[in-house]
Amino acid sequence: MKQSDLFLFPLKVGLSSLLWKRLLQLLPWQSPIYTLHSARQSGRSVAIRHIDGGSSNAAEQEVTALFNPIYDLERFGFELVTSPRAADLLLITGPLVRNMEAAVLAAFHAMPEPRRVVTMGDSFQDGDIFSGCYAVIPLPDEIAAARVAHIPGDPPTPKQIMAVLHELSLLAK
Amino acid sequence: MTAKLPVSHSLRELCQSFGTELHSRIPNQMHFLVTDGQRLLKLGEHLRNENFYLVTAFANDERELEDHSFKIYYLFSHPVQDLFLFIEQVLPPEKEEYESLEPSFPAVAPFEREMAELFGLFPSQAAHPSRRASFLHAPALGSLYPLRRDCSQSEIQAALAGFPAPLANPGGSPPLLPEGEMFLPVGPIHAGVIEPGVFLFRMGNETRVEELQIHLGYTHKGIERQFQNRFDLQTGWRLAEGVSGDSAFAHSLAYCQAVEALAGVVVPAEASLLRGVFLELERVANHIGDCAALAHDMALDLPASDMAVLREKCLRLHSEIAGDRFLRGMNRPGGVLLPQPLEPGKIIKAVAKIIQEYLGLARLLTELNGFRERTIQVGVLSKEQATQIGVTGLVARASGIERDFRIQHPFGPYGQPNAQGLLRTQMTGNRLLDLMSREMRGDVFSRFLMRVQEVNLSAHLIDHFLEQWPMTDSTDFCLPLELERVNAFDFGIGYAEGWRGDVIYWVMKDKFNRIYRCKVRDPSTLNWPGLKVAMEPQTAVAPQSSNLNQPTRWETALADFPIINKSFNLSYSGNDL
Repeated sequence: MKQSDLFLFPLKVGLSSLLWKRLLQLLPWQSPIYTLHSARQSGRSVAIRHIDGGSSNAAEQEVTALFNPIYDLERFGFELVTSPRAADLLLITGPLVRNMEAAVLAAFHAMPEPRRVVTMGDSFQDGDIFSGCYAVIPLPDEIAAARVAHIPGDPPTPKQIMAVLHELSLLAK
Repeated sequence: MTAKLPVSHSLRELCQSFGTELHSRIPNQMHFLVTDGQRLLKLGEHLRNENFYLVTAFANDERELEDHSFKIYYLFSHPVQDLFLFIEQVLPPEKEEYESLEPSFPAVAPFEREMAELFGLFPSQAAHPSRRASFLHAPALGSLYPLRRDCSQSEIQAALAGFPAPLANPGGSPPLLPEGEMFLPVGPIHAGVIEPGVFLFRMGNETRVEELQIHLGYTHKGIERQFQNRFDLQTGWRLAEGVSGDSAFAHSLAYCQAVEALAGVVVPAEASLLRGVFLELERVANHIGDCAALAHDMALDLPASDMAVLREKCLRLHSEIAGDRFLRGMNRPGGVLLPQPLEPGKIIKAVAKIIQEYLGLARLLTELNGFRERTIQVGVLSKEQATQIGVTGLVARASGIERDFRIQHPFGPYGQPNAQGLLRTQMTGNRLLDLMSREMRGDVFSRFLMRVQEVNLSAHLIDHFLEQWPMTDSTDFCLPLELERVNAFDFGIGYAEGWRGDVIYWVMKDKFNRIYRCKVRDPSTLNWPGLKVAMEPQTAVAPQSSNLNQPTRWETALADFPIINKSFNLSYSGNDL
């Protein structure tokens, strides 16, 4: 058992999971103390499968940067996995285009339940440079229903992506 | 303008025998009209013999305009001099076939595919090009072609809804193979943070690649149509920045230069310098990132991590200067708008520090046996092959072809004699590391060295441009454009040598200040066939083999594909549009 787990152990057994979740929601997430080691606090790691839904590759650059030694998302318990079958989270960068619809849905269905999706980038919203393109489509209903968060930004910076993922991993328990 | 009279003179005579010359306002461009397809083929052969290369080709729906027909435009460049040849072919009204230039210029193939799918124009002598890899993955759209002007967006949207892109065999079912051979399909989603596309490998045995088929189009967004629908000449730079996110500055620069050529405006000297600085900053950041990815794919994690940190430092520097990590939002047709006053001293210092660390790491890599074994003579694209298929940019230079728009067609600040001097000595003469005296042979190692060399050169250029910076606190270096005075249906060509190669924009104005047609050409479109060739087995004389008469057969192992692919690092989004 890791040191941090030992430290949290009394808290974990002392409170029911629901109460624990409520308590977590009350904490000031923006403070640096809480934004670190969040995935470990929640007691589980998060496996992410990233899918390019048809983006201009800027978003991919930022997802790659998340795992460089400066941001190093892996030390907080997040990892990129190659198969959606091993993923807790599908991270889709947009806009979603017609030609990727079938592929994204196939990846989504390959995920184990419960399926969770995070979308990333302003191109999922109206008013973006790509909105109205004939080959750009809205998020399929199934995927939209499983969406747990949207990270705004064009594309969001690694810091912004990290902040949202941390928050999610805390609430995911 | 370095174009000497004799060449343009003899060329003019040659072209006049095949077509009519049209007036061109730009001194380094010659503009001809050819109506007869057969004569165009003849002219193509002549141009091929004179070593001209194809820059871009595209169709335009001008049925509403004075010629009442489709037109096909070809842009060629002289191999050495600053001379563009722009050929326009008017198809007879109601005719949707043209003569393909593919026999003389194989590089025209991806453009013909675009014409077939987006315009419904087909070459008369070749097989139906949409049978090859396709953009729309919906062969049964009927008479709906997205870039025809009588075709509405909603119609196409409705028609496309019934055709999800196939996940397996986008190029049709593969044929039966002899025993021992097999197909290995990969994609469209890959095992990593990269863009989507399908690679179909024909394997000779479990490891040996016999053939690679590349099927792209998965990120097709309909960008060229979007230029016409939602943007006007003044705002189109926003969409240009979204064509390929990692070369956003090169794209917006080429777009802005096309509009400036249309309006006949020369931007202020400061704006020109800034564009040079930012273009080189983008090059530095991306080349460093590519080297990091290459090292990472070979499990050389120490240099890979250090280089990834350097790339992050570059992006943070961009963010400090531009308020955006990808240098977006500054280019405007007519000049540059800075979000805050420039601090040249800080940039020079930051770049110098990054470059120094980077060169140390690059030297470390070039001396590592593990790195050399996996890169030297791997993924070879020989000079002959590269010339034949017409690749461009960094890939062409790494194969020993001297093709650089900064030298050959100097734009903006690159026309300065000192900048030219820097470019010429660095690209051809003084090699940076001892190892660089090695000739560029078109393998992965050469492409890596080329990146190192270009980063070093970029640092010199950034210093050179910033030394001339007039120390002003002003942030607005933008001239107003008088687009109302430009004739309707005039067009302009803009080009910039981005980090992948030359980015070309062709912009035609309509009656108002909107875009009638904008053709985007990312260097990736020309370079994807290069990746295919580099993956396939070759028979040639190995340069370092003792017996020079003995041709050797090179084979590519499947495990080398990620490395070869990274060494090209082409844009899917810029290709699919």
